[in-house]
Amino acid sequence: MALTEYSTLSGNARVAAVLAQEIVLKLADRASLHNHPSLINFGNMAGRGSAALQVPIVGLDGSDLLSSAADGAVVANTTLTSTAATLTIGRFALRYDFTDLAGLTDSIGLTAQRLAESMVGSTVMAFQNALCDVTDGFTTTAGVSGVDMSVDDWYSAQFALTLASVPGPYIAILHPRQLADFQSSLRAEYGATQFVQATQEMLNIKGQGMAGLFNGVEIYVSSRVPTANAGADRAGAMFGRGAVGYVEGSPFPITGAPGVVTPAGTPVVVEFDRIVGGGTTSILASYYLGIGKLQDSMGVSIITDA
Amino acid sequence: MAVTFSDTNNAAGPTFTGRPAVQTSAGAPKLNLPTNAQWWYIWHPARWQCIEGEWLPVLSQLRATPGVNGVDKDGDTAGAETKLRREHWTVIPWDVIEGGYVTEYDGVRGPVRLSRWETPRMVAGQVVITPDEVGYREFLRGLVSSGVIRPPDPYTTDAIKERQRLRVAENSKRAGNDPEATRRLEADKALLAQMDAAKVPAPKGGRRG
Repeated sequence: MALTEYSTLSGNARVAAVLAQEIVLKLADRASLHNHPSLINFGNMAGRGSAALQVPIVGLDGSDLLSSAADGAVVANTTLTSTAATLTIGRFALRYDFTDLAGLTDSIGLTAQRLAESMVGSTVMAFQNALCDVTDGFTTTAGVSGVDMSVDDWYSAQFALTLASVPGPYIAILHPRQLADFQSSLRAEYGATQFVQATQEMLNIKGQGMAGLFNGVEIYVSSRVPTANAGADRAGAMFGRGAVGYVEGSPFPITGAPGVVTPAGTPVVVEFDRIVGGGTTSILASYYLGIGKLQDSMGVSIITDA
Repeated sequence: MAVTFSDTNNAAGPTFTGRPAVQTSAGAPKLNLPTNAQWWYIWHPARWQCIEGEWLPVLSQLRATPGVNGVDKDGDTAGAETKLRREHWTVIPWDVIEGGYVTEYDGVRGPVRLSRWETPRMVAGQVVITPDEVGYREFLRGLVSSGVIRPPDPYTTDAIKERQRLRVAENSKRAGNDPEATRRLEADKALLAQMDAAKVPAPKGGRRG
């Protein structure tokens, strides 16, 4: 008499595979400097009367010095030095269309609601991408095209900021390639005791991108750091607080939109839209961001081999 | 007309005319890289580098990403360009070389715009980009010789050389005891020598752009 084997049930009473009850995240860089104190956040543009924010940069509190003057001499007028940086918000958006069939067959929690939650991560990474597109363009540069990043390049960047009287603390954003080259250089360095490899505690507090500290400069690693010199190099950066600023916008409240999710702590707005004819729910995230350099001389782009 | 198995006008049967197949865009391979906005090369008088005995500009990019670096909500770069010019940057037009310097590819998530010196290829299931460094340097050289970019001011090159001298001096102190410093010292000395002897591409004509 024949055995009741798996193969005899397969396709009828057994299925080829069942879904695990835990979703494993696809490998991706999810570290963002959104809300990092080294970046000046000028708040929300909602209700401020414009899509552009002008940031006044004025030479007060020691920028202009008193000159010695003879007794009774009429002192000439000094024109106050000022400039301005303008941050203009633009829209960043992401949409998923999710059919009812995809939803009703779900057994692992991959629902329209989960996709809405996922938008938060997508938003902060869009911020990170925009940030790296700003910091690659400082006028001052350190590093040599086609040459691996070394401790010397680090010091070049640090000295450039020191020479420009940029107040600390500084922060560095490096591409993983640059960080690996920098660490490789450090490995061979004598007396490199100042380098503190990111500990588990630091990672817990500051997230995936925190790579460590060197000379008091926080090092963040990001795969969003863009290329330079036609793909031959990567353009990371080191800068002080005030080099980069940003402003955001959240369109609250949205009239006539009942299905809106506003995840706490983020300016992203996620909306649900029903396409009844198609039996489909659209999940749409909108984020308004304006980001740019405030003072170019407060940062250095580090351009080294990719 | 009734369906027949033969053409009554041709005893050998019907004849068909074919044409060369054209791959539709739906079936064409798409680049699995993040989409990006249109961009232009920009240059600042302070950004120079010495590569193999030659002073060449270090370009950056103006990207038409709404909300980034002064680009407005519709991707209009007019305001961003004005700001850049005020800060002494030069925006380099696409048509500065024949055929332009930006190549657009169909990407999985939208258009991917790379420089013409970056060639994407699939290697072991991954997209890798091969840079044409020689071609890019030729382009940089051409920007200076055609007058689009002014040659470097001696003040700028002297400042870069001074930084290099500092590196040499720093590593000289540690060379001997520190093998890494010794290795870097040789490379830094060689680069400094190149800087001292480096030439600047000579402008041939009037300034363009």
